[in-house]
Amino acid sequence: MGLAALFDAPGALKPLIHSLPFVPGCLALLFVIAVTVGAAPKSQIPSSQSPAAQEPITPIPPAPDADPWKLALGERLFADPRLSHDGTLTCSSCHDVHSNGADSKRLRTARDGSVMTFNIPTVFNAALSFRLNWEGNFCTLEDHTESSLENAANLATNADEVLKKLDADPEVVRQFTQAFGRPPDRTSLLDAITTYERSLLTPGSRFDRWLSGDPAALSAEERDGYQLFKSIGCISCHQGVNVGGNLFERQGIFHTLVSPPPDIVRVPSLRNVAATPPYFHDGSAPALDEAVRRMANAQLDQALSDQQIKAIVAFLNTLTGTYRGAPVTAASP
Amino acid sequence: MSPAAAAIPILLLALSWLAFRAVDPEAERFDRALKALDRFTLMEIALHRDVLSACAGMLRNYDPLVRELNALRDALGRLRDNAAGDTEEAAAVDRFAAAAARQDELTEQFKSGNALLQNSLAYFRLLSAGLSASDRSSPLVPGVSALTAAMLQLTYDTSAAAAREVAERLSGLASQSLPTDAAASVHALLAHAGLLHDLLPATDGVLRALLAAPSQAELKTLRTMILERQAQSRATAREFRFLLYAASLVLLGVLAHLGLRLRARALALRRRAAFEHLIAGISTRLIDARAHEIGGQIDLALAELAAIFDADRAYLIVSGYLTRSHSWCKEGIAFPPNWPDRALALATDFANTEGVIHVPNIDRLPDGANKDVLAAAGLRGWACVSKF
Repeated sequence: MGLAALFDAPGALKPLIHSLPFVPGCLALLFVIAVTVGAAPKSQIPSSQSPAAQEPITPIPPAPDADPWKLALGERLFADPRLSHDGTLTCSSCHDVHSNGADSKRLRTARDGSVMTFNIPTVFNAALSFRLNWEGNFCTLEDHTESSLENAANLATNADEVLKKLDADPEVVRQFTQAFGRPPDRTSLLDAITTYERSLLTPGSRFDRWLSGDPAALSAEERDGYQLFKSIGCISCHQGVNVGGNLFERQGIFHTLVSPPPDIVRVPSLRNVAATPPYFHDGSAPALDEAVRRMANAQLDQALSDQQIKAIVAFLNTLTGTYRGAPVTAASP
Repeated sequence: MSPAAAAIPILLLALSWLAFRAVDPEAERFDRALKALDRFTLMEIALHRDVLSACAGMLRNYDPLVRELNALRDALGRLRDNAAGDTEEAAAVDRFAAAAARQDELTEQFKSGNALLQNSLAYFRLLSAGLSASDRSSPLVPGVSALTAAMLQLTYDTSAAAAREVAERLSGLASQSLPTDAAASVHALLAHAGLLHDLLPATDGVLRALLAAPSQAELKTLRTMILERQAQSRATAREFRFLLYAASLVLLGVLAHLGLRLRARALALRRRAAFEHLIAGISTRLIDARAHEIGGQIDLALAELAAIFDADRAYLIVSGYLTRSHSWCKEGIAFPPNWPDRALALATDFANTEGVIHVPNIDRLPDGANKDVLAAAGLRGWACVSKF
């Protein structure tokens, strides 16, 4: 009996699966269901119902409730040059929230003149990712923020040095006291910044509107692009609220994707992907269509046609959300 | 300050300390720890359920797994905070956290492996079906069918033998000469099959290790430790409650004793005040009395003095050239013969150096002539002040 015949009659497998040890049984079931999904790429989601309930991608929730004083203080600190040792850099130097939450450079130049290893990831929706950075080496925004302060290639300072500078500014001390009931300290410094970072969500993308039940939010080409995105297997990694950002994966499964290490990266979020070029951890793909082509080849062993790439890119364009009512835009070169 | 009064602040301090210990001050800490362990167990069950759902293709995305792992880490953080200050418990929490970290790592491995598995299984099915269906007479069909059957077996049985079978079928198909029109499909099939050959046993192993719940043994150890400490803490609190009860009884006894003493002292003071008032009144009356009234005033004074002491008889004897006496008896009671004159003679035998005689109870006197004399006079008690 061939596999095709078996998959066309999944009910016939049930007695067999139930008679098997548990774990192999699960894998067998996976085999059936995964293939069933893959075999029906053209299935249409009823537009009269909210598709979110059935889709592997879920809409971005509203930003969490936060103390407005902490939020205002965090926003101020995010753009405060006193958070760098020599007063020349701010968090927003690399993460420009007026554009895409990152910058337009392929790789930034470090303070010592060397080229940084990783492309700057966007700060937008970072709070929705399970780990931070390309390597996923930080579990919390607090840990990541402190590391950025101390990283010699970034802000090259530390919490104590920053606090000393902030303590000398009565206005900042007043703001800290207003927000936390005490003058600045390490905990409140990190809390203020991360409270602000948690607010940097970009809901309201056209795709989220479609997920929420607005069938007119996507064009036919964009819907086809989404179906293709699912049927060729991109969805296996790029799913969830952040369309990625919730697992690690090896890069270059079938063919080389990006030469420089690491081989295992945190799957990046595709939220606002159209506004965050260049792509990959070395920033080696300047445009989205090239990134899609290379990803399909390296990760899925698929050579996509120009039309398929165009459809997927059309879908990816619908993932651009809004921040403070304005669409996220690419950073200026 | 009397010893009893000095004991009160000490007893109050002891009671406060006992009351603090008796309420089992660590109870909340143990409750929090057990709650965190329960939360961990609950989230671990949810994690395993969702891992199995993901394995079966029934989980829409990996966000629930992320939330559950975050909840597990949060529960661990609470346990760690809770155990601060208790070295032994903190060490047990650390061992538990290390085992939980292994579960975390396995879950990440599962997610990464499962994402690839889903795709390669789908591609393998599509490619093998396409190659089998395109041309039944193609020389590739037997090789593709054999590989498909071996792969199906590997999905059920990830043993080394099943994996070896797939490897052999892969080699067989790879060594065949490929028709140009099918070469791309066969290469893709071989690529995905090669990945599945590695991934199916690996992911199966990860799943088995994950479902074996590597943190359970340490969780059980930690729970047992906390439960034992909780029981010990409760027993200690119970002992302190008994001690608190005993100390309360002692305090009550001391307070009752002090109360009685206070009451006796108040009564004595009241009686003394009444006596002083009476003396003052008698003195005033005697000073104001005219000569012929003195005798009457003395009689009255004797009656009043006898009344205040509840005496049956009272008398005043002035011994000298002419012995004079004044006496008073309660109604219905008479003086014994030769009394009160006899008192003068007895007074010299009984009086102390200050001339005071106080015999509260004649019956308690040692046997002898004095007792016999007083008993014969019908006295039950005798108080006398002699001024010689």
